[in-house]
Amino acid sequence: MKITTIELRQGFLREKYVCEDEIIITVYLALRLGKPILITGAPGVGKTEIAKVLAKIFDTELIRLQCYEGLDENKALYEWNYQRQLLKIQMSKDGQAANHLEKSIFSEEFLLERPLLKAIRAVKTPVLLIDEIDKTDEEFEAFLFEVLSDFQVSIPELGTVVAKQIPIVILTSNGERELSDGLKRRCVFLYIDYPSVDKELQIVRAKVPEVGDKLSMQIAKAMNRIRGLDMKKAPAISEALDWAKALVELEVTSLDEKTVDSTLNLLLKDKEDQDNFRKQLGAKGLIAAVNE
Amino acid sequence: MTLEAHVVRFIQLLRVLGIRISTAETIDCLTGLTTLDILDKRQFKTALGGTLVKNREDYQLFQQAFKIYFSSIEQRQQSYSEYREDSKHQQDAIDQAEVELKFKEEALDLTDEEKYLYSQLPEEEKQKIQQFLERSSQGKKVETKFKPVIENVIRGSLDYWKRHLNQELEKLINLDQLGDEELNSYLNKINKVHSKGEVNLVHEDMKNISEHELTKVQVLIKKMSRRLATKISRRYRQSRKVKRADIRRSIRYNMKYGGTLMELKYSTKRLQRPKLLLICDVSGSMARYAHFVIQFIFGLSSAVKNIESFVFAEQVERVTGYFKARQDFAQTMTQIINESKVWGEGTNLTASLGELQDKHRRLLTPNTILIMLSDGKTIAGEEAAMKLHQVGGSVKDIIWLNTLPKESWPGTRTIGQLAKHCRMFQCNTLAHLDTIISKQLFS
Repeated sequence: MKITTIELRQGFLREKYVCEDEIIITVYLALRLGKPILITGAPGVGKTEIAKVLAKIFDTELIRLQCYEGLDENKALYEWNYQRQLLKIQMSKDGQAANHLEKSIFSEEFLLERPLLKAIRAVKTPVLLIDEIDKTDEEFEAFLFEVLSDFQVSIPELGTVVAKQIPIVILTSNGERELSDGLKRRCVFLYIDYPSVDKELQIVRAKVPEVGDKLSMQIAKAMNRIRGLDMKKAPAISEALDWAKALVELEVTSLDEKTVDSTLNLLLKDKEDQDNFRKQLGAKGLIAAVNE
Repeated sequence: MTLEAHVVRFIQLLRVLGIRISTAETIDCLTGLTTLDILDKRQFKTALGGTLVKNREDYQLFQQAFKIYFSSIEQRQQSYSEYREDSKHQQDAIDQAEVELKFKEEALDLTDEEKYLYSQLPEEEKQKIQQFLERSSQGKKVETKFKPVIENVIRGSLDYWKRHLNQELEKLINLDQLGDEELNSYLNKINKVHSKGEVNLVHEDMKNISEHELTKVQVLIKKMSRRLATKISRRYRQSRKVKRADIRRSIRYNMKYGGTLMELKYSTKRLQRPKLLLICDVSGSMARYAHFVIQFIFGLSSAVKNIESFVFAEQVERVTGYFKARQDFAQTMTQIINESKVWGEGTNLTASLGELQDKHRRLLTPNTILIMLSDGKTIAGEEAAMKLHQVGGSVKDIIWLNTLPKESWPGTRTIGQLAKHCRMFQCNTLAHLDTIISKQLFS
């Protein structure tokens, strides 16, 4: 991919993705090396967003493969449209010769393209997002890194399909399980942590410009403080943005205890975490922290 | 030296530190560097980090190594002179021990590690050993052929001190791991920073973790327990994936197509997550691991619903309720220690497992995975092993996390007996727990 680090940085800014230089450099490196990027980090730090931003920067299609336990090749690569094939057989029971019929039902017309095949056959270099790879089984992971090495697949009835363009591949993982060495070896690695107060402030201001200077600073500080507590799930950046939008809607210009209490469920979506917050810090403590 | 040579040497250093880097990754790294401004240290470091290090835990070590390897000339010179000093100090200590440890004027055949260990002992103990050697050498009818016996006695004594002064003793570090003085000096420096605990807590024996580090450890254990729970349940669900066509349902469904099988219906087994049963040793010998034990139960309980937990010593005691109360860690710990009747007793695994079978039989099902956390020291080892075998017949698997270092296993007879009936792993540091989860458990 021909792009400079400066252009990439500008692209990220244009798409309002505020990030550290390390992210830009790692993405640039992966693009230049033609390698997939394996992005890890806590949920909601902006891993998936990188794929969306890249698709916009290169003005190309984003193909997404959402992983889950039990995902197999049929769902990820291709499948024959069994029902249509049967219909075709039924309709041509009398007419066509058997060998001709077989040839026709195993043609492009009956092929159901799934995300991986779609990415391989795309005419313009697409961005292939393989989201939450850690949720799949090890055997699927092994299959995946074979595809990612060669960017070609073999369909017995149609032959080998070789990628016209090597897609930009983004793999994300929440670290639910350790990925295989083979897969990691094939990727450039990027770990994204929660943003610093300054970065979060920039993100809030970029994404919710209506929020005032004072409130945005308070939100950024509050997020940083809450993430430091012992929680089951720390609030993500997207939750900070939802909170900011809600506060704007409520015409809040500065945080106070009452507002924090009444909007806490936008940040902490688990009853236990809300209790933890009240026990460890509480709205009063939070207000004191953000006004420091 | 060229940049390539520097990168390759740096990779050598990382490999010795335990970071796995393949040749393909080395090539990626060097190719990547050609596309960046290598005079910009930030870009240079990011390129190395992104292509060579593939998990977050190793990244901290990488950062430390990078800081030391690519430091200023003055700092590198300082590392080098520290290394020379340390090497000299170690060698002098070994030489001195060789002079002092003699039987009938002949130097004892001990390893460098043993000699260095001797040099670390309190002066009083060294004197005692020397006096013993002197007396033994002078005895009547004492011949030089007794030397191996004397060596064994000394080894036994050193081993005793090794166990008792574990914290205070400086270990002999192999300072020449890389066969290159400069690289060795960097490694020495990194090891020093590492041993000061500046890198991470994962390699620290859990019994040595101090109070102020407990919060950090708690977070790490919680994370790892969650991974352990996910890994176990995922593994056992995989094998149930096979689909079988359900002919009866398929025919019934396809009646509307005139009997042509347009859509197949499958009979799938109902997915069942295994039940976890956790049994932790809280006997006297495990007292130093009390924090670890409770944190482990705490972490697993918050990660897995419906986990059953017990503690045992002479008897077994159900503690599931304490962890369901969702109190904070300190409260839970205090409450258990105050209320437990078995805490700090001797270990009787046979009786404890027997009680589990009698009173909690419903928990021992073919869908149960039993996780034991114990040092394996129990009375009546033979009977305990038999009991464990019996329990093993009622459950799916027994995973034993042993806090005793693996090198001490052969010296503890019960461990050998128990290990035959379960899968036993050494687990006294967070690094062990991590390796068990990522590599050993289902290898």
